Amino acid sequence: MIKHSIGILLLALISVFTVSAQSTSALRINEVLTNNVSNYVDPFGNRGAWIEIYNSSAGTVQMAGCYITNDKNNPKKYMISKGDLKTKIGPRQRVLLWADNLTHHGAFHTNFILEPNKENYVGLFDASGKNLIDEVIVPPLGPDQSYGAPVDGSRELKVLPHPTPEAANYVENSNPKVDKFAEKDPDGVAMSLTAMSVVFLALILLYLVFKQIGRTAVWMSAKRAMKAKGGDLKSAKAEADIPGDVLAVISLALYEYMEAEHDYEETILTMKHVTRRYSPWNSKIYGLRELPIRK
Amino acid sequence: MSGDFFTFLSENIQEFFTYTGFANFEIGNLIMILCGVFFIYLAIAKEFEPMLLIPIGFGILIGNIPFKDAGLQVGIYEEGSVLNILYQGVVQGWYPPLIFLGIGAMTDFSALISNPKLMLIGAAAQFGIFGAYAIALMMGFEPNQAGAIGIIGGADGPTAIFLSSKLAPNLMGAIAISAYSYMALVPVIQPPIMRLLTTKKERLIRMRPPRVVSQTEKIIFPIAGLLLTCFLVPSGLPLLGMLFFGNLLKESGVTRRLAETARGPLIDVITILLGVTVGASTQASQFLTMNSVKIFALGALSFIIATAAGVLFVKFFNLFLKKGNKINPLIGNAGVSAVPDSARISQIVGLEYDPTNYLLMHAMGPNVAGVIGSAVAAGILLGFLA
Repeated sequence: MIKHSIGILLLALISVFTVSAQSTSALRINEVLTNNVSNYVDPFGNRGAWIEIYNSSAGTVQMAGCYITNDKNNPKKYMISKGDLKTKIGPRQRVLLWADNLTHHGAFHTNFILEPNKENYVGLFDASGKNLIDEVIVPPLGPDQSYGAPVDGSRELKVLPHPTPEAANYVENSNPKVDKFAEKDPDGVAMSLTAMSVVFLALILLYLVFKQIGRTAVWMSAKRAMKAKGGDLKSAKAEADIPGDVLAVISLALYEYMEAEHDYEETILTMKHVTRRYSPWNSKIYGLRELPIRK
Repeated sequence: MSGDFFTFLSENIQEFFTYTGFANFEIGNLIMILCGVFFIYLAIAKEFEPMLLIPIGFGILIGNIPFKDAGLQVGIYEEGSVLNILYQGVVQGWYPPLIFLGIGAMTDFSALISNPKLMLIGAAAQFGIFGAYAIALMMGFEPNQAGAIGIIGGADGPTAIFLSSKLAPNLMGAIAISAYSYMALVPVIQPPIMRLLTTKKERLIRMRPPRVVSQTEKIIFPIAGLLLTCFLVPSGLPLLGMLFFGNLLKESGVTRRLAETARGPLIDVITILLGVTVGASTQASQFLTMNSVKIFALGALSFIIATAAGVLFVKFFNLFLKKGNKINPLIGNAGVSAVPDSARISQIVGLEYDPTNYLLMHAMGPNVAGVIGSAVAAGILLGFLA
């Protein structure tokens, strides 16, 4: 019992840690701007370098407690404060960290700066400060240029001429999947063939598995019957394969024989008068329907 | 003074009149109200799917009471209104999986487990979905809209609502009404096609009675079913996951209360909410369009194709089966997942030709396979087009 409890506790702990690790691992350094000349202004009116963090998962991720750094050898350089509710990043959402060395401006202002016109390292570490979540080496950038993912969350970063702080790096005005089908499969033949093949495949798989399971079940029940009664496996298998309706009839006959025994009077046809428990004299219906008698 | 008072009173009455349904009435509202009344008539007088048509029919009445758009938060499309909040279960697609949970908890898969080859009929009937998809493309619908319309051929209301809410939310009202209307009309649509495509000799085929299925097999079915189908089509997870979960609640034998809740009060509550909100979503201004007419035509076609494909597939399948193992093609129509109506049609038509040939249990096999097949098809369409 104690062993079981310890096992369950360990399993629960492992799952908690796995879930936590999975959630922060969805964070991405999505876009970085180091040379802010006439770009985004922070709420204090300052133009500084900024780092956009993107949550690539379908669930909300808590970023507080993670570390961001510009020094690979010092992963715990700046801990993202736990006191701010905005550190929870919604699914496919993004937040901005200002690399301006103005920590007194709040949780989103780091204690380091990024050098304009120079190569910069930016690393994001989890709450232990040991596991790297994401890192980017930002090349020297021109004024108001950013370095980031052309499509949010992707890892092929490049210089972006039009920075998009706290916004999607690429906006799609149409569904590329739908466009592809409209272009390549205007008659729906490819879709029909592919989809029907998958539907058949799924149900054929189920068919094969349950054919085998059925065989095994019949074999096992035959084996049980053979063990109980003796005889060979073949005849026991034939017995085990008796259809349900036959079994129902046999069960009914056995029940009739064992439980519902009939004695001979049921074979005698009688004509018995059925006594009625009410009469027009005591029936309420007759009383209610009676019309008043005029005298 | 008194003159002012009467002017004020008359202005008030005029103002009040602008808020009434009479002042905002349009001919479209009348058409939709008549549709709603017709649905209620079908449900009560003809007993066509009353559990669905009464809530939907009454919902149509609710949705088509005209009112002044004065931000009073009464309409189903007004954010924050009571109806709008209830409608979120449809829009966000969480009513259909809950319905599937109930369906799973009330479905006995024994007929399918005892004769697993019947699963293939459930797959064949899904041709209706893709036949309608191809025709919808020809009629000028976008691929995502065509996919949402095609799913009507699966004859599964919750699946149709789930998929259309993801692929073409603007067509969802018409698709849902079309799917449920044709499901109610299964006794009218299917028998002529079944008679047309079968010979008298085929209709008299007697099938081997199903063997008794053990409890262990019934428990393995939802687990293996989930793993096999969802590993192949993860996008079908919301529907298939809940369907098989509900079935495990039923078959495990140790969660009787949960199974009873899922197949009783839960599914009843969700059916009421789903029916009434889908009905109310058919406001004349949103619903009475040429697209709705096309969707109704495509819905009928998809049902016809699905029924024909199921029946023809059985005939084809019989070519490969030994004499004692042949399948009566009258159960081919049951591959569409209108449970248990289409299986009942197999039984009724079968009894017309041989009053001692009971096909109901055999037809339940492809019928429940159709539920799985249409959910898989919905998952594929969602994966490709969402």
